[in-house]
Amino acid sequence: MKNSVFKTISFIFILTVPTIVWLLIMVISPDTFKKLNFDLSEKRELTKLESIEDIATSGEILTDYAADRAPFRSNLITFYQSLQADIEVPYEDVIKPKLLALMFKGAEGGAVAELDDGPGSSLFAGNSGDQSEPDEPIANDNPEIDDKKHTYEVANTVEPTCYKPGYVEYICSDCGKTYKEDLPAKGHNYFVAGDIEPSYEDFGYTLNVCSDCWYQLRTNIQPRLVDENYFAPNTKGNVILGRYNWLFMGTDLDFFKGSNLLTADELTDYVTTLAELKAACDRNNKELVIFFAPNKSSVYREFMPSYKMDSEQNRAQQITSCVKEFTDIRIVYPLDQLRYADRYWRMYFKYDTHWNEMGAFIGAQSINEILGNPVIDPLSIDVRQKTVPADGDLFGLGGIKPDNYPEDYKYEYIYRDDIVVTAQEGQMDGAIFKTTSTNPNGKKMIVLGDSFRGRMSPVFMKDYTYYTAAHIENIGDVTQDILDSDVIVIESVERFDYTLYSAAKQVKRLLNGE
Amino acid sequence: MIFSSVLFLLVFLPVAIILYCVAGTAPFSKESTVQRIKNGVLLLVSLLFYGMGGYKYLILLGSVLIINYLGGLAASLETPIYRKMALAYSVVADLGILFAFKYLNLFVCVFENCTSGKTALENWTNIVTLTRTGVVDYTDIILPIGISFYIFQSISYVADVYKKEAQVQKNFFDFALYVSFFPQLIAGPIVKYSDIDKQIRSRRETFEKVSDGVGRFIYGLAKKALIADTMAEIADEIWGMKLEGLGAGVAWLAAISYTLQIYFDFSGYSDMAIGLGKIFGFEFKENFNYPYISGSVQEFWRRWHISLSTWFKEYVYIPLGGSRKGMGKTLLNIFIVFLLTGIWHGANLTFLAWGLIYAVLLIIERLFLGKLLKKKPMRVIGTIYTLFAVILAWVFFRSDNLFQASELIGQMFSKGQNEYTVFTFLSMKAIITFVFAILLCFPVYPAIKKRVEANKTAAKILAPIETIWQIILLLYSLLVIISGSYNAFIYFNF
Repeated sequence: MKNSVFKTISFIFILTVPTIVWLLIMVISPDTFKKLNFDLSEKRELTKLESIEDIATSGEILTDYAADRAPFRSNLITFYQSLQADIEVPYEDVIKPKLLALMFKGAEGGAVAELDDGPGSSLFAGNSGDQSEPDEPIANDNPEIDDKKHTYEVANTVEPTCYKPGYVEYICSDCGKTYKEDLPAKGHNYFVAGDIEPSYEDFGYTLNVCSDCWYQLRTNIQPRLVDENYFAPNTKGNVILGRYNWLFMGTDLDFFKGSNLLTADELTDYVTTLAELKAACDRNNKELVIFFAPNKSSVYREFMPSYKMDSEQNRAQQITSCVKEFTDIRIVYPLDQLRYADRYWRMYFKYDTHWNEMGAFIGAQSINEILGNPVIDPLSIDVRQKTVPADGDLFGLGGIKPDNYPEDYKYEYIYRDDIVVTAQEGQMDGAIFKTTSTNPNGKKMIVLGDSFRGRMSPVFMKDYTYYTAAHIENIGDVTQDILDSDVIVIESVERFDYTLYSAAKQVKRLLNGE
Repeated sequence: MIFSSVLFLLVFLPVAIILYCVAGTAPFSKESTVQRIKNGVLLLVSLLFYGMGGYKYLILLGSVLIINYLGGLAASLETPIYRKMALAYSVVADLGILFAFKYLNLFVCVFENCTSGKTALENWTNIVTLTRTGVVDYTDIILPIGISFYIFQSISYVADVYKKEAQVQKNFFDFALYVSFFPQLIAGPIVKYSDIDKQIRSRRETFEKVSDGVGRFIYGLAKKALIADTMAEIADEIWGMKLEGLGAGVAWLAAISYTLQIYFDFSGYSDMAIGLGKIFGFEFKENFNYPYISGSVQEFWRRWHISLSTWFKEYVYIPLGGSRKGMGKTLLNIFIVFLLTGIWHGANLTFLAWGLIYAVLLIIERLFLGKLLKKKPMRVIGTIYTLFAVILAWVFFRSDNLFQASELIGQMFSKGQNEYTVFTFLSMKAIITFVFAILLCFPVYPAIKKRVEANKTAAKILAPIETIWQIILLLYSLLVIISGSYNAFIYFNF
């Protein structure tokens, strides 16, 4: 066949036959069609054709519609992505780091880790408050003071654990009178399991393990190693690829560098708004706490790439110090507390924007501290570290596949198990969550916040008889709860201080009856 | 509709080709009737093509067609005064339409800011960033796609008829086809009526021509989908960032990426237009000739967007006197032509600056530099100088406003530690594309073709190999285009 004829026919063939085959499959075998058209987890809806008017006014809809329904689209996209991965993965893993290392031999180094025993340690060292408030007073009837003579037998023994005291309950075999004798908590029976050298990613410590309950305690903590090398900024999608496989939110960057400080006008406006809210709370006899959950990149700044900082202070510190100076508002930005607690447990998930269970615990205790509530020393509760496979919202945000990423940690802890939640409305991670507990203080707390509020709930639902947690977008649905509360906490993550601002305004209007 | 989309490639184009073939087999004895039908089909699909962008634009196109069709008729009358008036009215109407749809926004912005009563610096800043004060009750007009091309094409028709260089087209539909033929309607090349006149009336399609067209189209598609779009990713990412602290490496990466993007995008489109024209039996003139190997800016403008510089030469430069009225006048004419060339590209001061750079350099070359660069040993220096000028000019062309352009250029010549490395923006795909892109800036293909055609047996063997290569390119381009619709638009809860 002549070359020109072959070329022409091939061209027409390629442009028509796949489409025709595709349409035939759709008509003849809808099942096969469905199978071939599998979901690519694009998390969006494919373009639909709504009205003739839409099509007539702008052809873009048709273009998008055709693009979303190209023949064999799912198969082709999957194939193309695997091709891409084949060339990109070796490049990212091997070639690029070598090129970067060559380019930056001997360049200025990264941030320095410090080990300081600053104000962050105020949450520790078992300062105030009891571990638990007993359900009933421990009956210490002295059997000898009684007028009758009793014959006591052991009725019930609750063994003390490392944490909780136990008791022996005696009963008189004649009259049935009971009394209890306390058995104090055993405390841990530690043995030294090993000495861990500090690494770039973790502190050095002596690992003590309790032979009774296997609780692990770190002592003799030494600071992390410091990486002197320049680590070039690298982003994927909206995600910053930090050192040691840590991922950070791209939008943290201005906050991290301190390049978005507020102007004097903005700062005045912000502080004034908070002060007006405080006045409204005072008039209504409510306590108020303003809380900024730190950005992950503020707490783990040593793991960020090498950036030039624009300012020593960041925006949250700017607001917090100004509020503290000019008002009596209780405002918390627990950066020091989290950085201190980091020596014992990871505070944030490695591949997620959020803090983990222990980060939230420290955050919640820092709120308790400023309210003058009893603060539970984190080292006095049962905390267990568990490894989990690599997962987190930053993978999706960066279009990164979690394969080959090392494991992360999550934590489980037992907090005030003497207090029981008797009623619950909604899910802990839902938009609105309400609990009633057996805590005898009779007080009501409401936390209005973003996605960082959820993990603080296990603490507050025990610390307060009535507890509500609601997303800032749902303030309208919890107006009565706000009006009934004794304590209002407004929370936002550091990078969303403007949502806290608008929430403060909303709550102020509500309290003022506007 | 863009050529490198599923809608065009898998729906519109095959339907257009099939309809055209069917039209060509219409059982009429008179060839001119068959030609009428074929032209009719082409006109219909072209209007459909343009109408896909919104039916309102068809009304605009229709108006332009009517004005210039009548203008052409009037410009072919015997009486000189009527012909002059016809030309004047058509040109004024055409430029008026172009001004209204393209430049009115800028005009309103400038007017508002000049009468705002604020400081000169504030006004200037607002004009540069196209910030309006909103005083005038006016909503910005969206630029209809392709308007700059078909207005200029219409003007060239009336002017050529007036100059008696082209035959008037009394058939409205044939005239409409000339202006709105879909391969060159949106992005050129700007076709002169006299170049296409005979072809509208009669043309023969052969497998030879069609397959040439197919091959050319495929090369253009690959240039756009594989090279230009990859370069665009890099340029768009960097231009979308805060430019402070970018560093020289990344700034140059941005500039070079855009330099390659616009060349492969535009020349790719021209290739596709020429290829499509061939498929339907038309021969269009070349629009690009490896501009980045030019040894001087003068040479660059003989190789870049040839149809546009030809248009400006014929309809602005020469009527102004060209180079026949002394050095002073010549330089002024060059200045005017290139300012207009700049502003033709868009209603932003950046395009004016872009044109101005070339105006100044061409004046300098006219005065003395051009002669110097023509000497043999200056070839390399000349090419470097030209590329340097071209790349810097593109920074203005691409930037949103003059401030952004000067910031980026400032970064290109900055020292000190930067925050990003070029590798932040380079994937393996990007690096491979860069290599191919730079290679293809050189006339590699014509050189190979010349060698091959000299040897008959080589030609025979290599022709099917080229076909296989083109088929692979087509398939891969389709793969990339279809995959391009993948959008993992992620919602996350805060």
